[in-house]
Amino acid sequence: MVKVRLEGITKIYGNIVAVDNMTLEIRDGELFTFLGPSGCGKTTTLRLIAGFEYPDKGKIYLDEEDATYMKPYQRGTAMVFQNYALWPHMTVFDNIAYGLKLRKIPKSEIKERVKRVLELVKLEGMENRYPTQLSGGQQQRVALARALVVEPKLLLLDEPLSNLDAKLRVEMREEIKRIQKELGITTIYVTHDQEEALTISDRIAVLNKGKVQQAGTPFEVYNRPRNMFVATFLGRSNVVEGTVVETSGTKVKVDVGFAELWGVTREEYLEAVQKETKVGVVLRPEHFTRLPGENEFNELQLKVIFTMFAGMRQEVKALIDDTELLIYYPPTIILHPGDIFKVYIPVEDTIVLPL
Amino acid sequence: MEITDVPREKVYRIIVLVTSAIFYYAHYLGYMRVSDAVISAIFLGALYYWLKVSSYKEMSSSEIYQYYTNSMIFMLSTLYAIIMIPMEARGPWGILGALAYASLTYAAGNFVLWLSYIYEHMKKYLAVKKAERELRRRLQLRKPPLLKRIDPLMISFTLLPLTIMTIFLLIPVTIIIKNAFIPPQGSSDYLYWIKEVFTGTNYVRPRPLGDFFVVDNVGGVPVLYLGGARITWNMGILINSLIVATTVTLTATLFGLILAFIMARYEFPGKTIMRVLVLVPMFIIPFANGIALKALLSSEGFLSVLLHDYLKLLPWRIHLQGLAGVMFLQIMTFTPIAYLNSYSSFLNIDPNLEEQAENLGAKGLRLFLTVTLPLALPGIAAGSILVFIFSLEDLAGPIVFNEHNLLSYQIYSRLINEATQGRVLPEIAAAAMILLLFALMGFAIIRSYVSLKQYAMISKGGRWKPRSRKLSPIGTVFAYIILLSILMIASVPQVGTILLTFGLLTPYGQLTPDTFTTNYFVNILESPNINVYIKNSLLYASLALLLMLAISIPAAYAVSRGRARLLAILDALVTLPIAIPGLVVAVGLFYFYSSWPFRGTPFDPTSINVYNAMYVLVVAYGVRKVPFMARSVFAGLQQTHKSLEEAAMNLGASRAKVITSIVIPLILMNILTGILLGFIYSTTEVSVSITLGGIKQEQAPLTWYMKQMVISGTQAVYNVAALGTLLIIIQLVAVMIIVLGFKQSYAFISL
Repeated sequence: MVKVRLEGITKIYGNIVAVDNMTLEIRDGELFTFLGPSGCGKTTTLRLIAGFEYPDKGKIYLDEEDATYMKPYQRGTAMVFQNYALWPHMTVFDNIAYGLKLRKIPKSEIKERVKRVLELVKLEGMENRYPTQLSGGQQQRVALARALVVEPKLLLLDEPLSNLDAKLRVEMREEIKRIQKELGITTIYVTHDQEEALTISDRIAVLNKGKVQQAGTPFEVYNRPRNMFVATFLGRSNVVEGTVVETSGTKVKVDVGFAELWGVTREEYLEAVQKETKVGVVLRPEHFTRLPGENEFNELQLKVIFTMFAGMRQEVKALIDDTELLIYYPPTIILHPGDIFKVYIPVEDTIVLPL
Repeated sequence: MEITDVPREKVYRIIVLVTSAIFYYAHYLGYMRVSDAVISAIFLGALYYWLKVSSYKEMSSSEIYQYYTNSMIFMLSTLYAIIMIPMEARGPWGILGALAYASLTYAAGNFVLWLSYIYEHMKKYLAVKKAERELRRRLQLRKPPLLKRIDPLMISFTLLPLTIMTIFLLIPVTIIIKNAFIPPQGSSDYLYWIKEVFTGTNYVRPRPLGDFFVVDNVGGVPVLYLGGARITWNMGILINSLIVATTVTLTATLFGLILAFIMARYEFPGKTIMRVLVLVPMFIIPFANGIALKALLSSEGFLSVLLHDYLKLLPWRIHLQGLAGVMFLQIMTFTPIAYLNSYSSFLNIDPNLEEQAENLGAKGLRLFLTVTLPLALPGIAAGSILVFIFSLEDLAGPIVFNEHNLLSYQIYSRLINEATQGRVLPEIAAAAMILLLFALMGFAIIRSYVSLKQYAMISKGGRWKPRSRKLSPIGTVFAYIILLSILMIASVPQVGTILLTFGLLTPYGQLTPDTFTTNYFVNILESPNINVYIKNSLLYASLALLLMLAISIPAAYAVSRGRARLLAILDALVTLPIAIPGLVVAVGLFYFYSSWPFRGTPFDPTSINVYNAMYVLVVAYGVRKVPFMARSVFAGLQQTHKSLEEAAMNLGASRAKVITSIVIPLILMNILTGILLGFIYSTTEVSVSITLGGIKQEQAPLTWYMKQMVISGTQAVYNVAALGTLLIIIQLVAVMIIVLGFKQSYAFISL
């Protein structure tokens, strides 16, 4: 197992900066995810780590060894591709055994290890099938087995689940998480699916325009976004602009027009968020409650514009002064257009960020 | 809309200049007065400009180019050419000449436009490069160390084919261009020979010699001599070549298009059988096809007699002569090429695109003209240009019909005459260069046209189920009438060849069903005098295949996987041989091999004692026919996702190991298909085989022997037909293997 360190990695294609001065550390044994919209540089970064491309600047360290310009086959990484990249002219057994044969491992041991890894991915007895005879989920498992069987120091997964249907995707991601924990292997996972990223990862790096916007645990990046991009990219959020009227430590009071809201900002912004500065306030729809809680809260009175019933909740578009807000309301109390209702939002979930 | 594209402004001006030059040329030949020429050129120029400016409101300039300018240039210059031609030279053939001249204007204008696109492309590329350099400087980036970036295998994969193609294709062709500018003795006029080809009375006649249609009574039967009787119709070597190539291209494309549309879009009973029958005209049988056609459409020939005496469809019997014979033969030979390209482009149209148009209310002819045809056009255009090039360089037709007034025949006959004297006059180089020019111009027009209309067809990845409609009984009858008549015309040569082989047809065209014999066929296999040529051809073709493999696999791999700029050149180089007429290669190789460093080696055709045709032909076949294999391999690589290789590399395989264990097995079918195609095309190669290949009789290949027999006379014709049948058998086996064994499509001749 290995820890990965990226130091000021930059990669350009033509005059487009794909990865922009990226510095990151991926800890030994963790499942680390690159999350971001398409074109944010997540796959490029993965390919740089795998050695399919070389950076234009910066260094890549695997443990303490400089791996920046190592050939792909010298790095001891194993990658699972978005399209699985199973070789159609080989059976499942030959696909999986390929890496072992290259390592000149004796035949009997190859057989043993292929058998073990097939058990791990729950594909016992499929050795002699060809990839085309397998379902999408099974192909995915073979691709994973092929990567795992060589006992890589680092497992790289490039949007491995994006070609599967919704139900299978949920199953497979639990499966990947289980296997990863079982083997304790350092894993880098690339996805644009935030739910996938949040559920599977130990830590997430949210990328945009080749830069790390925020790196942290799923809880941190979701509930304590570091900037507007992260706040709006993950989940749904209402963003209202306002002016700071009062500060007390990280607690800030913001005049947003329809109300004065108490919120919290991050310590790194203490300097930037002063009285009179313009700021953005992020209110996630699921943080609103029907009844006041025990902690400090803001209180809002709104008028329903329309509602959408979504099973486990009721999505309400409501108006306060001229501002539209999206609020998730319990599904058991039916609201109608024109109803006036009250909601509460805890101060700690009212996130104040510099614009 | 802003006027941003300045280069195109320049282009319009250049077009005016070029057009003026052409008008001047027309004046020089006596087609028009100089004042007319100047006024027309100015008027045309003004018209382009007016069109451009007036349309700016709604359209982009490239749209103006696409929809208006092209057709306008063509129509107007045709009109002018017709008006400006002196009264006495008009008549039906004067107008044809004018059309040829108008096409030339059109082609020249397009050629300049094409150059301008290259220029614009280069400029864009350089701008991006500059931006990249600036970015690198600003971010203080440096490229990864050179030694880490380059992959020795990729480098050799690029350099090996690049070197071979440069030495054996580019250098010989360059020598031709150089030699075309050698002035005659005692003169310093470098353009002498080129002017000769464009203005000499042999090359360009203001008025045709002889009549195209001559009706004569032969023993009480009216016979229509097509192409002239005692004096064959002749507009001069250069104009003849252009008229033949244009007529053949248009006709073959039309036939191919109709066949392809019916086959691709309609379901009717017996379609499977038709699909097999369509393959019949595809068999390439140089010389034999001409003999069969000449026999069947002569004054005594079976088809002439059938159409006139029995079916009473024609008021006379038909006898093919000269240019008419060449045209007929080429239309029959090249219709399959047009068909294959059209067919595959119809199949490649995403049905959703047409369904969307139907959904919006388009149907019938409108749907075809606005959606289907434009989408299929790049493929169809590629097919027609191949026909144009193949027609220009065709030698077998002129030899069989004894038509000397064509560029290809001239180059051929003077090359073999002068080669025996050890030196070749610059006039041949000039003629060859002009032949090359026309071929390349056609290539360039289509390339620019196709790239202009790069309709990106967005598909969901997998192959779709092609659109096809069931035909009503009446529709089926119509479909069969059209299909069968085109097919019957196109397969006359193949059928005639087989009939001749087995003695069922005489060299004069009479059917003799009672004289079946297998003697001729057995004879060519058993007679050591004949089968030495078969053995030679098989040996040369097999060796050439090795060369083709050595060029195609590295080249296709490098082009499809590499990123270097040089690879665009390599890609062009392995495709280009399609556009270079074989005779140009033959002349170029003659010059090249008879000088340093080949002088006195077995390559040198002027050192008779050491000369060995094997060396020359293997290299010539290998280089000339490499596009067919390279395209096949390239297609395979494009279907193979790069990640399949990366997965192997990631697991510890070096690039060499990836190629042997992953890439080659995956594209094996494509390689084998390429091998079969290369083999077919090598064994049927004519141009180099009958020139450089025939210097020493005992080393000559099959096609050289067939040509000798055609020239030598009537009874030898049976041997030619028998050899033609042998070629049909070889190709039939290959096609069966490709279609049934490899499940690959036979539509290989496409750009």
